[in-house]
Amino acid sequence: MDKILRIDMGAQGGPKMTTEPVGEYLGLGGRATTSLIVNKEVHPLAHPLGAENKLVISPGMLSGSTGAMTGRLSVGCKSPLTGTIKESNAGGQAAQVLARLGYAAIILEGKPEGDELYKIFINKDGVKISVDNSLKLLDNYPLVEKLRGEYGDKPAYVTIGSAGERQLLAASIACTDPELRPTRHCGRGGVGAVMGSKKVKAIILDDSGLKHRTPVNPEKYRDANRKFVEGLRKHPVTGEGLPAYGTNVLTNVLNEAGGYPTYNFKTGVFPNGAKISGEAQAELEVKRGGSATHGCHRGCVIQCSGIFNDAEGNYVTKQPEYETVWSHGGNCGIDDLDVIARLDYMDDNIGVDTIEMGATIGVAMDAGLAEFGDGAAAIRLVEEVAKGTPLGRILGCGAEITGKVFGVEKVPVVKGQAIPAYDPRPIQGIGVTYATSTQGADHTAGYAIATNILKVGGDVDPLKTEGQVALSRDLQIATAAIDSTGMCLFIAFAIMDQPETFQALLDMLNAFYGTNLTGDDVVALGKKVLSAERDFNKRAGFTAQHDRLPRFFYTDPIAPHNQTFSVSDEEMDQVFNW
Amino acid sequence: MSQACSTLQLFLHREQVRAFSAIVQQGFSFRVEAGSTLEDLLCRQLRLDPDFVRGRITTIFLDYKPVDDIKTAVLRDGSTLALSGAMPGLVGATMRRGGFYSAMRGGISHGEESAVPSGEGEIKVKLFNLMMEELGPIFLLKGIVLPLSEMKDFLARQDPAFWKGCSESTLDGRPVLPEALIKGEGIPQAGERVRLCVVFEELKS
Ligand code: SF4
Repeated sequence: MDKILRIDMGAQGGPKMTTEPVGEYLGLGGRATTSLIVNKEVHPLAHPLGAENKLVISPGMLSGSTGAMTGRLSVGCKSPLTGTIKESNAGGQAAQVLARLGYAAIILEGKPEGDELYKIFINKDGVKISVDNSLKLLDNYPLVEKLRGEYGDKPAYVTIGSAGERQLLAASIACTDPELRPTRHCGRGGVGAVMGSKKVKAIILDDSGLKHRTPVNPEKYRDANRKFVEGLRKHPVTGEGLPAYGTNVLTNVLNEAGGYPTYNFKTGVFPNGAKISGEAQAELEVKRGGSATHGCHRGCVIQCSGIFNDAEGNYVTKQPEYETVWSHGGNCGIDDLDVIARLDYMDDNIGVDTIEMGATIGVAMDAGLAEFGDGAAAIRLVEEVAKGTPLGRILGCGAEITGKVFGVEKVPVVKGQAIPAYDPRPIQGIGVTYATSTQGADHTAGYAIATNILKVGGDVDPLKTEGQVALSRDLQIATAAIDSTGMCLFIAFAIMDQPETFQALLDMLNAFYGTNLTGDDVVALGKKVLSAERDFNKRAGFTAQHDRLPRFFYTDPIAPHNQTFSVSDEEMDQVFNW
Repeated sequence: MSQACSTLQLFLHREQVRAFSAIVQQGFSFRVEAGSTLEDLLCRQLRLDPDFVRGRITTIFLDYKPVDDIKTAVLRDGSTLALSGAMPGLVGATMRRGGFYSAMRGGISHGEESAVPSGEGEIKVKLFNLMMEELGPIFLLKGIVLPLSEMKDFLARQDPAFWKGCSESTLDGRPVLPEALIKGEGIPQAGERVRLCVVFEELKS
């Protein structure tokens, strides 16, 4: 990973590529690379779909090696959905392959004139950019199928569906999984629309003839990786709960806590939650000959995913994640796993963020476009997005736009991005992260529950109200750091509870790069990334007033606990006070 | 709340425990000593190993409130208790009992109880994820109480493999044939609820 591929899609005479040394980004990866480049190179007032915006694609620090869990791909840009800086990441095979090809980043910049649609093929011999208008308006599944006919089964495919081409603000970028299905998405923030604005339909990454990346100290790396894997396997969450039930294991628990936003955030309990729980989902998957345990990329030892088949045993989609089951399920009053799986497939195929899409359907239901609980109507609404009808374009631009167009008062978004599957009224701490994240409402922004080991913020008194703010700060720092390593965030449970597993992760990084990183260095990296993101947002016009939840969270209590969000603005403004 | 009802007893292969996943997730009634602490229920009444309780039952809700201390959480007649293993995600960690992030849901945590009347009582129990298989057989052995309609639906939807794994079935101590149970004929029509006891045999190779 010693070079950066820069492609000016708007160059005179057609796209022009240059390869440059990695320079100041050496030893970085994932979110660190994308956010530092975007902050440095993108004008903060640029139109997100204009020539001045850039799409930066970066593998993790350890991607392409033999290390476990190292396959997250980060995509960064100025978000058309939020107007803030954006980093969105996904699993799949792409990060591993891109890293083995030697690229620390691909930067797509400029904007072509005219209607030509491009594909970019990268292998060990170089880069080829070509026009392929036969791909126009193909959705992800048929698109990958067609590309496989030309490039075969070896590459990893990074693609956009029709939503990306139409530059809809909820558009995602798909990455293929080991079975070459476009199931892993950089979903949040409309990154697919930015790729669409550059007129790039597909990036085909082929590492044929290339080996794994070699660590500076291979023996130490192997040893640390072994300990790391042992730690993941022995922890009840990463070794048992996630492999058995996937992330949707959270449905029952959030429902029981009264923190499961239901009917567009009107109540905290979905009466039929058990019908769409991870437990019910896993049982159905196994019964139908699918699988409840599956890795989204090679080298994943947790395997939180699965395969969802229909009643006849035919593939429908990958195992929908908790946030998807929530957004299309309980949030819309839908208790049918087959309907939810169908919607998950449609989202992946069209190329839209499942959280944004489900939240949008919830808002549309509030607007009277469909009844809560009507699965067929939800499918019809998503079909509108697939067809690109005027209604579909509105829905495909997310919950905020839909709420405005249809006059819905209560729209669950922060900085234009839909709030995910955890209600911030009973779980106030997560509300602080939703409100203050540099990314718009994002449950993963403060996800890396390893702060007690990292000791990022010194000693926090968790019993004090200001503890919420301090915890959110620490979580956001730790998450920014883990996002930069390119490791799957689900490692966080094992590294939180088992200091030796966290040490094994540090040892992996040090053995790979020949460094002596400590926990403090990881914290410093997290702060550096967040500072760059905050700097960009500030220059883009964001102030403390944008770090707030929608008003109804402060005024409307939610059952069963009848709580409102009560962290004060003054406290909230202390999150980034370090 | 407790009232007399018929008892159906099944002797099943261990692997049939999965058939009960919907029932245990949605919740069943269970007789307890009201006024006792959660620790008393788990460690004395159910005889669970304290290490198991500490290490495996890491997420507990009593009346929809996350519990941090099982020594002070007290069961009332009519309470709802949910038991779960460790959960993923920040919110999963937040719900963990006595966890580092419990402050993030401080407003809904289970607090100190005022005096709770003691005596015979009944609670609703829900088992999630890993607890379904680890605690399901223990509750089922002691006997759970279900509405008659739910019991009939459960018996009717079991496939032949389930009945193949059933070596014996009795109703109030008298043998009853699976065919009758499937048709709902073995269960008395009177009474609104049934007590179900299941003895799981170890898998025979
Ligand atoms: S744990 Fe899940 S999300 Fe993470 S790498 Fe494995 S399959 Fe992908």
